[in-house]
Amino acid sequence: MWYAGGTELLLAMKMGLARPSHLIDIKRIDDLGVDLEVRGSVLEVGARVTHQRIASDTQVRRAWPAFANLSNDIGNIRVRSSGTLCGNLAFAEPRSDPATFLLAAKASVVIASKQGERDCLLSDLIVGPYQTSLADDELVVRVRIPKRLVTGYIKSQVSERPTLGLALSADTDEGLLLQPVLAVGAATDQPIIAERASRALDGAPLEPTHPKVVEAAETAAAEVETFGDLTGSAEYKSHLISVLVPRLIEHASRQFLQ
Amino acid sequence: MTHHRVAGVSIPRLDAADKVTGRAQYAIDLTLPGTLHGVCVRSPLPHGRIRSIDKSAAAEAKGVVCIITGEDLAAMPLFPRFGMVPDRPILAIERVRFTGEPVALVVAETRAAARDAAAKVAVDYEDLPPVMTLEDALASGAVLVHEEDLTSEGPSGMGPDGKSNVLYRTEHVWGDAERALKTATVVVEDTFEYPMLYGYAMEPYNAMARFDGQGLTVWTSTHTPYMNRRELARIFSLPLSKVRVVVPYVGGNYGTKGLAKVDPLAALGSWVTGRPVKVVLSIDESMQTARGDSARIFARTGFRADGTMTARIFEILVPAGAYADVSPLVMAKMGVRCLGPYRVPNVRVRTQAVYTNTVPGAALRGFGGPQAVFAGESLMNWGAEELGIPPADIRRVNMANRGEVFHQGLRGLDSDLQADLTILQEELEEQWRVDEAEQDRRRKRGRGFAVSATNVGDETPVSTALVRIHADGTCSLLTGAVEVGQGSRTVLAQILAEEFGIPYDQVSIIQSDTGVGTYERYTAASSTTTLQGLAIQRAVQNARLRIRDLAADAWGLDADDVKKADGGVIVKDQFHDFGEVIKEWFGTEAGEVVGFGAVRGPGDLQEAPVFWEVGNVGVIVSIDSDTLQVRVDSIVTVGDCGFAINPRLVEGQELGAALGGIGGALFEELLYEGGEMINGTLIDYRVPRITDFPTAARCLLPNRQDGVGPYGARGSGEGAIQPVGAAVSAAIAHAAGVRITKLPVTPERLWRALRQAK
Amino acid sequence: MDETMEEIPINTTVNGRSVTALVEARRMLTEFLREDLGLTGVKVSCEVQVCGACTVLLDGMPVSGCSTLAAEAHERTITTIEGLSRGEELHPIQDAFVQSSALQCGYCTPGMVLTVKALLEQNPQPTENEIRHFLEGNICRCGTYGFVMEAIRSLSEAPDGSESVLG
Repeated sequence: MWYAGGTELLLAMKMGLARPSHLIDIKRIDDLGVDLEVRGSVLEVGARVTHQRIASDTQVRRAWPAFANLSNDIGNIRVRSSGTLCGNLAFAEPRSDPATFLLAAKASVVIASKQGERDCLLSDLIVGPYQTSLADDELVVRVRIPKRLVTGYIKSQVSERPTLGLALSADTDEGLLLQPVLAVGAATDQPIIAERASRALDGAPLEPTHPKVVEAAETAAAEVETFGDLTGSAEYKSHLISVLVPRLIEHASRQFLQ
Repeated sequence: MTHHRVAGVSIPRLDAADKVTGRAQYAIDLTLPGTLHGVCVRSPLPHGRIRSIDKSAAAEAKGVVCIITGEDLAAMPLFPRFGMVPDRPILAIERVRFTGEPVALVVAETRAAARDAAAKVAVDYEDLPPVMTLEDALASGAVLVHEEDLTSEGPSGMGPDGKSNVLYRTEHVWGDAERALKTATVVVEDTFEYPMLYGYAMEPYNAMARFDGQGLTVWTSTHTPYMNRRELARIFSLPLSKVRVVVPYVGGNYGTKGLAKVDPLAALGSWVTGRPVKVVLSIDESMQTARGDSARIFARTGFRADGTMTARIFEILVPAGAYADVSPLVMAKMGVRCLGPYRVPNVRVRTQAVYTNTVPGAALRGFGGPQAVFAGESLMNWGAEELGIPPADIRRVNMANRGEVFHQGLRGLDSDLQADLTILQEELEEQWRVDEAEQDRRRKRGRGFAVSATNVGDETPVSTALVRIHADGTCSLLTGAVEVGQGSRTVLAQILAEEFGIPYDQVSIIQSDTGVGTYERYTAASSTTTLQGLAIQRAVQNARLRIRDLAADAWGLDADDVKKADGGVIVKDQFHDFGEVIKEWFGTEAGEVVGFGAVRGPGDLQEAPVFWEVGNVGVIVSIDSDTLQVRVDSIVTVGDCGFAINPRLVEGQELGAALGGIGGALFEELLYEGGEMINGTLIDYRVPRITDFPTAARCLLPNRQDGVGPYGARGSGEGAIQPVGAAVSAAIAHAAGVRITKLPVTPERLWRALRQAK
Repeated sequence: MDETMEEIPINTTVNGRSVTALVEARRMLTEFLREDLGLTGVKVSCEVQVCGACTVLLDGMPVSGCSTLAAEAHERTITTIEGLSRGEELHPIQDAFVQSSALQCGYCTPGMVLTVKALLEQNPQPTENEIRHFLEGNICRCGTYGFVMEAIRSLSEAPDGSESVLG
């Protein structure tokens, strides 16, 4: 089994949920290609890159600020120092902050195997809770994150895992959102895109109290079939979606204006 | 005020250098050559009968030395159970009574081997209907958690009677509460719920035991080594002299490590194998070993128009879990602590603890106080609100003055709570103004406070101390008191140095080894500074008498001609330090003098409680108006410990206790679904982090020197946790306009409460 | 992991000394440091990367020894709490903790001190929010956080700010 930071895998092993016969430490593989690189308007994050590295990289901080910020708020400093982005995505933890954000950001992953490399949209990689479309001999070697003008990620969290995560990416024209994507994490058994709410946001200004935004918030709360967990019931999570979508817009707006 | 040299000074902790360098050794760090390791097989069921255990596959696994089951245990010439009410088998015998109960002990050469083998022990169970709630336990014809009658084996009135699930009951009645409520202008009442908590001492339960020619020695993480000694002596039929319990540094305690927890398992392993055996639980297993007691409290209080109380009624129910541990005592304390530091003319308090099929409830910092004070003080706030009286005023009109008896049959109040309340009010007001400057439009602010007086200090205190004066004039203390993080090593050294009149770096403190130190009932009930402090003062007095006699003898004088001085004596206007006296008397460069001091109940500290530990806490909270997350932005405590022998340490105890209270008020709660604990790891059980520590935290020390202990000191460490639940609830009510009856106030609970109020 | 998993040879540097060892593949760094090297200043607690008691520095960055394979240490540098002081001479961070009484039971202290070391090396003058953010994963159940922050402030507010107090 592939192993990078071990954040999730070693926990699963300790709990007896995974019993691999071998671990392959990909951090020791030298020819994995890029570490962290900006190619044109795409950020590429390699398999060995930790959350901490993303959080502290000046290019990411400048051009993908929401992503840098959320990376800086994952787990704690030890998790960020050892955990990798690719590992996080390949583990498909349903409450993953980066997975929620990258889903909204229209990110894709590059998957390698003996047969070569293939591209895969993140939405096609994560297929369920702790489930991916990866074959046994496949490895996520990098993540490709296109630059969008407007991005944002906020979460509500009390315990170790978020109660709810909300992400947005969009282009803009004269202050209006174009082709916005709203993603919701920790609300269902995998991060999902709120399709109807995303459409409702199309053409909305970056104003949290604007009727279009308020309507999109209600739409999102209605369309996402939330499930309850230890951090909150389905009902409460729906409430959070409705009140936090405007906050996400406000947050994204602040970041956009900077 | 008397001038002290080192008492009253915030000297740096004497254990700090060990602890910052990693040299400090905890029980978990120790191993002896040839040590075996024990791992438990645990019950997957809350209630069941053990049909059979197949240990054949496990017995053949690599490194396994032996596997002990309850059936084996029952056949051994041992007393197989332990606890204050000895209802808890070392390993489940025939029946399991909670998920996680030890069913077998696998002893192997390494912990990993024991763990691997434990997974191979196959146990066949017959499901029994579990008793999970108060309703289950109290239903007529309820399934019994214990079918046997053990009432004659523990303290009077405690334990299973074989007929019901009742573990213990208490009652306090004076006046006619029901009738007095009818004369009240306002009556407030509700049912309050306080959660099951996990104390999370960061060092998990662990012990290492060895039998040899001297008997049994156990190295363990506990605050009650002498109680554990008694437990072990009973199990193995050994005299007290043949059981030695050694406690090195303790990694977190908060009352959770009292009485034996895993010592009997390690000792059993060693008894069977003849080799040292160490048992280290994981934190997940520790969560399945003991927890703080939850409580459901129906409370009713009547007030006259001027705010004076006419009567208070409390009905307290405690689901105590599968075994008694100290839940009966915790519950009994709730029955006193619920009333608060007030004169109440008519009282009726009834408490009842019942057995349930959950992890045994046990002590946790505050010992019943946080549960009871949450209910009692919340009603004070509600009464004030309904009468339109400020919450401080309604307290003042009812609050006992210093010296006033307010709880029938108990000592009068020994602190000036009225003055403390003024200090608290002024500081909270100050914080409120400072805070106001930095308001966030999305957060609603509120403030609240509560107070408490709790009967701590042992009702029949026993504390002893042995001091030694060495030939170079330096001194040591041998004490049974444990350094659990509270700073006893430092404070006791300060008392010893103060009494002998020598610098504190010239004294050493040898602690918590029952084979060496003298008897101390326990390190609990915030009593060490007071009781052990007094014992030290008496031991020093005793040692000084001997020094005086030795000096008189050595220099051929009357004892009266030897005058007392700091660090020595004056003989014919000439100062001689202790060392010179010793050497002169022994006639050589060596020798030693000892002194013994004791504190006891009869004719001494007869009046109970030894002291009232008071709590004064005010908080300012802010609430996110969207998510309903509450955070405590400011906290103020008045640490009225009479006299702070080390102010910095008292401040640390106060703020630490208060932060513990914030955990229980806002997010800590053990949850059961069906028969299973569903948040039994630190991922899902949330404890306070640095980000939860209030941005403004102040502890004020009045230092009126009115305590019963040395220099007017009395205990500290548990006072500030008691009022937090009620204080936070009051602040939330102030901010959001809802009354809180259930802790913790999670964002979702508050959201629901607000929605319901609309 | 399979019980029959093989043993792996590692070369590592622990507290400035090179160590060569054969470790079971499934062995965790905490077990290796505590049991094989006797470095019991590395504490064991939650075992799920929440509490920080087992924090050690791996190439200067804090990691959870409980959730890091011992084999990870191969050709890397580890610092445990035992590697901070020189004989009786305390590291300035240790000294600050002593002076501020920034500990009670002390069980979290080794991990806390090492995390503070990593913080101050990256950010010698952290704001209060930065301190809280960096230390959020180090639990002190005794609740000494206020004193810990005082200790850190006493270090980052070095007399004239010209000279780092970090040795």
